[in-house]
Amino acid sequence: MKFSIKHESRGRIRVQLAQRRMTLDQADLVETWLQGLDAVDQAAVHERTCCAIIYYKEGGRAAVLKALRGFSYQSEEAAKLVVPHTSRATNREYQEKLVGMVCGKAVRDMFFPAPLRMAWTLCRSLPYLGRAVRCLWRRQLHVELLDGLSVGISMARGDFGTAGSVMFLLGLGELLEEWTHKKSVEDLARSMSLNIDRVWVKTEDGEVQLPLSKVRPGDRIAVHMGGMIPLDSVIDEGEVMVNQASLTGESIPVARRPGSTVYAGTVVEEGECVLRVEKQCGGSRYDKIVSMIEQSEKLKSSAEDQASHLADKLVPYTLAGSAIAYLLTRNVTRALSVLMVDFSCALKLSMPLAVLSAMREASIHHATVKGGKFLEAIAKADTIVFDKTGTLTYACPVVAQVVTFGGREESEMLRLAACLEEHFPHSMANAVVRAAQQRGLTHEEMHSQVQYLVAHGIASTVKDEKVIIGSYHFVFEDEQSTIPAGEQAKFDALPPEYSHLYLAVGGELAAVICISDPLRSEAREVIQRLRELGVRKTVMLTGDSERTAAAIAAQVGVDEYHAEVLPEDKARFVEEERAAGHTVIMLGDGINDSPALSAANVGIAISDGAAIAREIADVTIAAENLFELVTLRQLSSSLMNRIHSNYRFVIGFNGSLIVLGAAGILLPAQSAMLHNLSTLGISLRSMTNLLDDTATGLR
Amino acid sequence: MNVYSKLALFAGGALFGSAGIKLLSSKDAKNVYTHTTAAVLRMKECVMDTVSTVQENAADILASAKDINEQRAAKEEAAACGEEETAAEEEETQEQA
Repeated sequence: MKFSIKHESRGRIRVQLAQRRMTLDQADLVETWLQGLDAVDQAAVHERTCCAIIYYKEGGRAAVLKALRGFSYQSEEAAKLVVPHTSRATNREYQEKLVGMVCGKAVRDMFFPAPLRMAWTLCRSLPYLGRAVRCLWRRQLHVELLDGLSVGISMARGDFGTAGSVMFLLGLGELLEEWTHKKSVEDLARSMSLNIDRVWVKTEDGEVQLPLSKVRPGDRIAVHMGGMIPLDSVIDEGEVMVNQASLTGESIPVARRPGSTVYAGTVVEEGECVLRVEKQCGGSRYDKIVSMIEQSEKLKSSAEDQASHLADKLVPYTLAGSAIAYLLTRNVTRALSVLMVDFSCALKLSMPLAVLSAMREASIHHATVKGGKFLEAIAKADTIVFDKTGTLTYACPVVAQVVTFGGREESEMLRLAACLEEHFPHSMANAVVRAAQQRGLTHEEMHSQVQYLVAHGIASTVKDEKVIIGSYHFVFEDEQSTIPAGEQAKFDALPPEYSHLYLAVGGELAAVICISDPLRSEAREVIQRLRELGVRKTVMLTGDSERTAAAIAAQVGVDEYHAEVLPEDKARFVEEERAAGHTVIMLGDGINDSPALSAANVGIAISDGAAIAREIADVTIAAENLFELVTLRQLSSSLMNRIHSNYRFVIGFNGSLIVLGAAGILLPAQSAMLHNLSTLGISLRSMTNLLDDTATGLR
Repeated sequence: MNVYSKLALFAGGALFGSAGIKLLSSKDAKNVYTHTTAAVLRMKECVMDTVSTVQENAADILASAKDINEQRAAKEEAAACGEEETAAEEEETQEQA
């Protein structure tokens, strides 16, 4: 594609693509493609000017330009790209409205004759007056009343200019809030409508893994516990409990039997099923999520509610202040100057903007926050509970050794284990499967029904023998497997620093797979930083054995740890902490963390983990770096600081405006202008980023 | 208002009601409206494009300005380091002497 470079600076380049017009879809396509390039940090495409602004990594300039030269809309690469729903159309719409409002006001003020302006102002004021009257009718003293009074009294005095400017600024504020709200909902919906890539399709030869796009209506797909239902379908076999939180907002799972319909995006919490696909890959899920978010109250934070109530409570005081000013000075002008200043609309406007903006900023740092109140909870939290596998450790455990018993062969055991483990989204399972793949051990599906018992293990039947694989507790205590005679010494000599996965065939221990689960390099430092930021207790809960847990806990530096914890116990622990008055953050990634995630004040899931954890969690963070937790905490604290400073500014500034107005120093027109401009100013400021770029080292 | 002006108003109203409305809603008039609306929309697009261009240029200027400041800061740091090194060297030579 031909392009010309319009501007360059360090790490940033603006190129204009050689085309007269660019459609919204084309702009989205180019933006998605650019963001997928390795050398690119961030990219934005403006369709009106056909310009692409690219922030590239160190030394990536040449690569970026080369890739751009080779790009074309018709290429295969472009056709295969999956472009997510962007808020480009919304932004365009609101930008036009904003510019329209500003230009309209300018034109009207400059060119319209006085009578026409008066008529226009009168017409525009009708909604405000109407709302004020309705407030009075219902005997409610709300912010709308003050706004209406402000506008009405200005007009009654013949001061149409002031009335016009007050309405203009109020309208501007409302537009900004509507725009930000809509954008936040869309961003949230976009990150929640993640797609899954591959599904298990049941064919005559057994289960085959296929990419989602190749699945046709009428195909049968198998979904196991913890997996996400990828497409709208009807249950053919199996009874399951389905969590429909992403669709209806309800977190209580519902039972579904053969013959009932299940929807794309919901998660199988218990049981397994085979589904017959009804609809192919569709976009209906996105819209469902948007409507669900709009209806849920989760977006609001309690700070916003407080601000809203405070704003309404202050209205009578403003009215009283105005009356007192009149009584004391017998001067209508001064009383009006006081009336023109309503604290309230600044509070009502800037608080939601601050919270929504913080949520947007969190998404820039790869964290999806599903509601304002979770940011508040993160700022207040004094206890953090970590899951071990996948959270404190990389979710890539590696098979270190396979120790066989009963004279069996290593590769056969590994093959068997991989065969069972590949159906489940646990990181230990992935390690086994990967190790088998590396050794070139392929297998056919030689097992029958596979049963997964949460936090325990997997049971199945192969060639008429019962095969189980899982933890010590599961294999020895629950299933009563025995160690082959004479191999006790070998068993005791198993290296202690690895996690052990026990494989038993026909009631007898067949092999022990030693898995090393490397700790994240930044884990220790992250916990240290969190402590500095005010988290008083850090706890690690894991289903692993006591030995491994102790070693990891010592390495990472948590205050407390508990080993061999079952999922219900994790939830119970969190609830006990909450009952003791602590605000608890829970961090996890697997199916067994879901009860604890919902029990905590804030449940954070790693985005690479099990689908159900992501659905239930209140916040998801990207898997690359645990430092994002620290960033999230800094962001939340900054948000609370901003909210408090907003309060102080609004009350302080407007209070002084009132005093000046009562003293006669400010005229009504001036105090109205100052008040409304300061409201707009603080709203705009609430929309800026909270964290400095340098604080996080990111652009 | 004398009789003639009232008469004129009446005549004007009658004319408007009969022929005027027909003219305003005729096909030709509709054509005019369509072209005017198209022109207004074009103007709106033009304004929006200008706004977009201004935004981009402002962003460019900001980026360049940040660049300049960073370069200055880096230069000052290098100069300060250089001074420290020469000061340390001088001390060493003094001690040796």
